[in-house]
Amino acid sequence: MKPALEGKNLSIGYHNQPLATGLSLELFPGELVCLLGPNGAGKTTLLKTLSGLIPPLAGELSLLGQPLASVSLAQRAKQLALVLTERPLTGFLTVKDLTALGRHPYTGALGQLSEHDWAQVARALKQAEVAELADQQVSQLSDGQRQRTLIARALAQEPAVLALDEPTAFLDMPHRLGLMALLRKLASEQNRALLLSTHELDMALKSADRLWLMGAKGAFYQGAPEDLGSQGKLTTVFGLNWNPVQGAFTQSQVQRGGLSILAPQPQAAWGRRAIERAGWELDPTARDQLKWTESGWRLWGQTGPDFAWVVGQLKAKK
Amino acid sequence: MKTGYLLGLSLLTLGLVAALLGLGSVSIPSDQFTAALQGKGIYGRILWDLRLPKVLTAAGAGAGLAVAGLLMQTLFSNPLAGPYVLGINSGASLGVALLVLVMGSGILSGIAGGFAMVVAAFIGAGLVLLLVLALAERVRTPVTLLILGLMFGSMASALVSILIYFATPNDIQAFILWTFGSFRSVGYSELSLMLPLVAFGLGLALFLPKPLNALLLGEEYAQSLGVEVKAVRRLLLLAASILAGGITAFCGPIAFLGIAVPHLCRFLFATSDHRLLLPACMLLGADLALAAELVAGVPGSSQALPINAILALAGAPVVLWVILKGKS
Repeated sequence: MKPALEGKNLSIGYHNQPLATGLSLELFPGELVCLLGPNGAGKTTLLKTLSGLIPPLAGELSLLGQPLASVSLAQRAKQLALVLTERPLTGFLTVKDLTALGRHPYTGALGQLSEHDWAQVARALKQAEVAELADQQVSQLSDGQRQRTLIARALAQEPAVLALDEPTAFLDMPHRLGLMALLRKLASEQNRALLLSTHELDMALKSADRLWLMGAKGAFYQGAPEDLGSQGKLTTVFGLNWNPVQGAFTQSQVQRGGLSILAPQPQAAWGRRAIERAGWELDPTARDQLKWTESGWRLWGQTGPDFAWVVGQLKAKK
Repeated sequence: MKTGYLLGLSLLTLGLVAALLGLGSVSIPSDQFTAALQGKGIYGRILWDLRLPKVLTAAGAGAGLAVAGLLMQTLFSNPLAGPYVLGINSGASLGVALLVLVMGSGILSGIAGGFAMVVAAFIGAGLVLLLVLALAERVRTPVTLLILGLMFGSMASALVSILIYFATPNDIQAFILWTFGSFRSVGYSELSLMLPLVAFGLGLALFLPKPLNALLLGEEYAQSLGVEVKAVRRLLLLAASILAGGITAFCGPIAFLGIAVPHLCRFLFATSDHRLLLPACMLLGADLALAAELVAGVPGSSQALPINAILALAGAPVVLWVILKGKS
């Protein structure tokens, strides 16, 4: 399969000061790639370089097999669409108006939309799941609805490649999950190449087909989330501890000791979070035990102020 | 419905033009009106040589300043922007100040006096325009340009205040009168220069509604939609500066129209679409300028109030009312 977007030996940055050099990367149709890295690693710069907003300092960049520099801006706009982090002032634009702006590369000199253009707008609104908001003003939408509207606008460009900069940044968790599900659908069902930058590690690990990992000082790795994880690249880039038992990243260093939990689900899982947050370790063989009874949590074994602090509110029910 | 509003604004324009032609410090007797329309007699001269140039000036200036303000508000994504954000009015003021305060207001007497003021204002505005256009090629974001414009303005105002400090009261009064704004000091010879400038600026703007709409989301989105952002920025600056510079040279600095009319149009039409906003700004800008001239002229008296004062006094409450009503 040919990549939709390909970079060879790219150097990216501003004013001839490279943020990262020697990047070689491919983005294929039908896949969702998460560009992952800590704040300041250069995710936005890479995204803007790949979408042609800023020129690469060195290297080759091609869009659908054509060198990007040789593709006119108007042609580019039909192949690649963007959703940026900034929240633009939208004035009196309705959801439909804003989506219709995406038809810009297809309309004539005065920007008059044809019947076909309006059909494409309607299709984009439906795909981004904002069709029922069509006549609402964008300024009155919630963050989640606004983000979907900006995605509808990008879809109206009928792009082969869709690049999104931190699309989940302003969203709460349910909306974040909903948006990721939508993006996955856009990639797999419509065979578009989707690239999105994020610093939300958990979410990227769960939803990306592949990861592009950017670290400090220009480090760059790409691969399946599981491969990068097992190679230890994730821990290097983010400077976190990987807890192989939990299958998750942890920040706590100090282990205070072991504690066993005797409780049905879901109480056991929540109880475990509470003790681990405070630096204890779940140890089924430990003598000290946190136990769920009909009257609430109960502690068996070791007591004392230290322990009370550890489990906080759980202790109150003793 | 929205095109109905446009029709309404056009009818208002016609009504105001008729009122301004019919009313003035001299009332034309009704039995003389047909003769006057044919250009006969003293009333014919009043109608064609005094009132018509005034009407054309007000309409052209109103339309031009409103559109210049709209272009700048969209380019800078800033609701406080107006035709004068680039410092063009300050350049014009400096030109006039240099002429009046250094050469003395005596230079304004005589036939060539008015024209000298126009030339001075035009040179001042033109120099700032060239400076801004040259710098626009080098700056990355419009915000930088906005700050540069502010700095030019401050420097020019500083020079003007130094000139005022050392000037005689007579000269200062002549300068202050210019800053009040007026549609009356323009005759056909000046109009033959001003109207082509306004027509050029408005014509250029009428070709740009599509990139202007793309710019609503900012320059980066516009570029991703296929807009050649730098070229469009250049055209917008050119159109706005020619409108603002040309009009200021002939009518003095009239700031209110350029900032207020685009907002009024957005709220009246509840739209951000420049295909509608451009004609709406032209019509409403012309209407407001004509209405201000009608009030400023105080029909039946020989007095004339300063245009800027009328526009701000009567206009600001209207803008407040429309915006507050639109919010609720």
